[in-house]
Amino acid sequence: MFDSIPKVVGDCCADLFAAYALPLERVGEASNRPEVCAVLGTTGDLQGTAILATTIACVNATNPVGDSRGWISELVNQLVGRIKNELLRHRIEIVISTPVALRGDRLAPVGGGEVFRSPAGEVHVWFDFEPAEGAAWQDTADDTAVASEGDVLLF
Amino acid sequence: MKKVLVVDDSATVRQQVGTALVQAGFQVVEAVDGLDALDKVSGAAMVICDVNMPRMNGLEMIERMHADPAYTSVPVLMLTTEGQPALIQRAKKAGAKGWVVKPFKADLLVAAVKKITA
Repeated sequence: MFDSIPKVVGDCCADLFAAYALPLERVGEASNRPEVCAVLGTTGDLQGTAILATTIACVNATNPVGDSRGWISELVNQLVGRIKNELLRHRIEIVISTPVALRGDRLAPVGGGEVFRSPAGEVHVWFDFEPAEGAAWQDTADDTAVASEGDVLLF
Repeated sequence: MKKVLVVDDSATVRQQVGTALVQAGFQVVEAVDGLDALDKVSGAAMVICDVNMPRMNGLEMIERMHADPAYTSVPVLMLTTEGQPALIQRAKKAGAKGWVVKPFKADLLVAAVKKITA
């Protein structure tokens, strides 16, 4: 029932970086280690953890001003915001926590996730979750369920 | 020069929004969350506000701010990753003038701010 979610996560990641003019290409395996990552917890229908990890150069390529820790925290927030909005179209509702950032030397996931190549380095994303009891994926997407990224609604 | 209060817990987002607005001729004041915003709203022509923030979120902030007769007429534009109709309706009911889903395009944001503050 939730088999589609890893693809949703990967697609949302690629779309997010595309919005910041950094194209991502899916690759099978990682060839280098991320230098900075941001972590964000979810509750609600999916209890889990989303992690976005990449290089400092990649973070700076999407935003040349500001510090890398602060910006990757905002990037994971925007990534999970996209995931949340996409999941809402399938009647899955998640609640997101405040992101935290971590810098390191050899940050690596334990299985799962997706790896992307970009001109500024690799981007790794993974979402480790457990569905809550009663959570049910609706196969048909309801495109009227949420506003989309970039929308400007004036009342 | 019209003053815009930009409320977001991300310093980078505040910087991105602030840069776009200053280039468009606005004065920008920053606040890190809803509580900080309530302290700084005096004199603002409008507020741009995130939803998910520590201490006080953006929806609580707009409800508290608009409950104060001194600030009832200050327009608020929400800038957030959230897209749920229920949240949008809550903001609208509290008096928000608009809702922008991140990532934002600077030209569209500035156009919305100009329209709201005109």
